[in-house]
Amino acid sequence: MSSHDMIDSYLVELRAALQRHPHVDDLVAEATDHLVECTGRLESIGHDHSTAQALALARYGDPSVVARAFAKAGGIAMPTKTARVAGAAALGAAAGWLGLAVGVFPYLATVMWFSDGWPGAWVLMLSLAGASTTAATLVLLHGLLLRGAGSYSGTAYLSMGLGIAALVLLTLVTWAWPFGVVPLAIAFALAVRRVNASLAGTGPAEWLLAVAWPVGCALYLVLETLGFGPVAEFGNYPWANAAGFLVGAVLFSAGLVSIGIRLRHEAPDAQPAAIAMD
Amino acid sequence: MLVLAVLAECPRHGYGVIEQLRLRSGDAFDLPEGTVYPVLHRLERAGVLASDWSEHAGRRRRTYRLTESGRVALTEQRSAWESFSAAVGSVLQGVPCPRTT
Repeated sequence: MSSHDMIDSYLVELRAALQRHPHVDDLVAEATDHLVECTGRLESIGHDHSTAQALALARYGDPSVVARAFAKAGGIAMPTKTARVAGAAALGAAAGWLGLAVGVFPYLATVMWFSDGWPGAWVLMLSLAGASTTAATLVLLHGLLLRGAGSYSGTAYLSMGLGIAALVLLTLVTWAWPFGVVPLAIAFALAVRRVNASLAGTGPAEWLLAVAWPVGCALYLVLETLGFGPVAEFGNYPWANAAGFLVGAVLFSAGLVSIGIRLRHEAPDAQPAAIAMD
Repeated sequence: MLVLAVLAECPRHGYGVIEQLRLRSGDAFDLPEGTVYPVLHRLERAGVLASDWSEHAGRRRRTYRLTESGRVALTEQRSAWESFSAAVGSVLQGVPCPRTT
């Protein structure tokens, strides 16, 4: 063991706490220089070597505190228990959106708009399915926002606010889904941008979460304009509506699965003392 | 602003910056020293600081210096602080109440 045994042990902990940072070697090198320099200064004013090391380490701060400071400065992604739960929720939400797209929605779009009245039971079922699927999606959103920087601030509140607005709209007026999915797309655009800014290493697939629903809405508008399928009693085209929802939901689900698998397989408990945030 | 001010005279490594902050403030800023590094890195990303690596006593050392935009930012922030500080000082100084009789 070197003459800086306490510092060496500390640096091992610090490296583990900062393991996801792309420049971890530089950060540890900088910490090494700081701690050795500080120890030398403290020895020069009369402290013995062990005391000087202990004081230098105490002044530098616990590795968890330092890691959190880097996270808040946008320098590290922090896997948390919330992020792992969010991964599972994302996979559940993907199943929900696909279920709505493939099963419930096309059926309802056809039956409801081409029948004399909208069956209350079906409307209620659609609302419940929309609510539960969107709620699971918001769990992912929450996990992404925490993973981005460890805590809420600024755009994170805006993102979650838009997500909650989407939840309300997709519960109360599920059939008018474009009004609900647009704020949801903006919420995810903000969240993914935040995660990218913190060097969390998201891939292009995650941007599907932001672009999927705008693509679905655009397709719906185009098909509606072209008069796709039979016209319903209000002069609208339910199949155009269903096709737009189907495409949006499939793309969105692809993004959910991609990020869900990634978050689900992170190991938040690998360094609990250093990086656990919740 | 404080970090920029400490680097205004000459380039310093991280420990040097933190030591100057502590000395000049009379130990008023009692924060974990390791948390100053994210601030330095953020300021570098913002373009107000630049850094260089060198070897010192067998270990790697990163030295920070103020950029031109950092000097401009410091001048602006210092001016704003002096105006604010003067205004607060003026209010706190107080004046005698006028006689009402």
